[in-house]
Amino acid sequence: MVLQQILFIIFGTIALGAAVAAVVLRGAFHSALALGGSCLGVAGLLVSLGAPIIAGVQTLVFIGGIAALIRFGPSSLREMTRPDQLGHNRWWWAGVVVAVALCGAIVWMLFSSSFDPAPDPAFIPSGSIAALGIALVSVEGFVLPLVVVVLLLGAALAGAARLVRRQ
Amino acid sequence: MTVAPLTWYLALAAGLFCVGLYAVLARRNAVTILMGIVLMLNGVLVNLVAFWRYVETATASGQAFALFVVFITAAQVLVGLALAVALWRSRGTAVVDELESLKE
Repeated sequence: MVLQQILFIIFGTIALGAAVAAVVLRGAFHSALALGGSCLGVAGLLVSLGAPIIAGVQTLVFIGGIAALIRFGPSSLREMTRPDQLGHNRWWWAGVVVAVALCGAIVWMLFSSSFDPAPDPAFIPSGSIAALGIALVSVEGFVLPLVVVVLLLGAALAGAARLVRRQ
Repeated sequence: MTVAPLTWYLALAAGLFCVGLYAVLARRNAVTILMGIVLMLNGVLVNLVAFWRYVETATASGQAFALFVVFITAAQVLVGLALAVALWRSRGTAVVDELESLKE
């Protein structure tokens, strides 16, 4: 077993185990902690795939932003997640059936197909960072989507601030 | 060189997506439902980067799409949490089952 396979097993177990814990645990604080752990596991997987920039951005946004906002955000957020507001609805078993069936179908399709490409052996992670930087600012690349996403984030921030403002 | 096969990453991404889907379908609280959506988009992220690494490393498209997914998730969670806080203030509940005014 090579290093990448060992890394996959370690980070994959963290990501999936913490995701299950985030969904099953009742307390909002423990759920937020587990969500942060799952995001860390996913970040480790992204680094092992050679995408450290995406892992860094994901860690900053999800762990630094969302998990901290849920735990240390405005007092109304803490009130919203008190025990009587949490729990599962009465159709939780249907959720289990749908999730397990969908996951089983996808995994069965994956392992019964012959699609199994090999990664490029000449790949250099630092070269991919430079390529991403150039693609994000070039007209032929993704500069227009980047501007649209920045506008979307600005609009979302302004809209969220307007929504939570006390009358 | 033997590396982890692409199917391992795709199966893990499917697992993350389905755990998040369960949270969206079965949890009552708006904040925990948003956590489920974040888990689903984490699965999408793993999928995009794995396909980029194994199929299309020559261009930066996979990484760029993954970056946009992270940004759009942030915007969606921001607005979702703000909506949940606004609903809490006007209705005094964060349980989505109790928000039935559109049915009336």
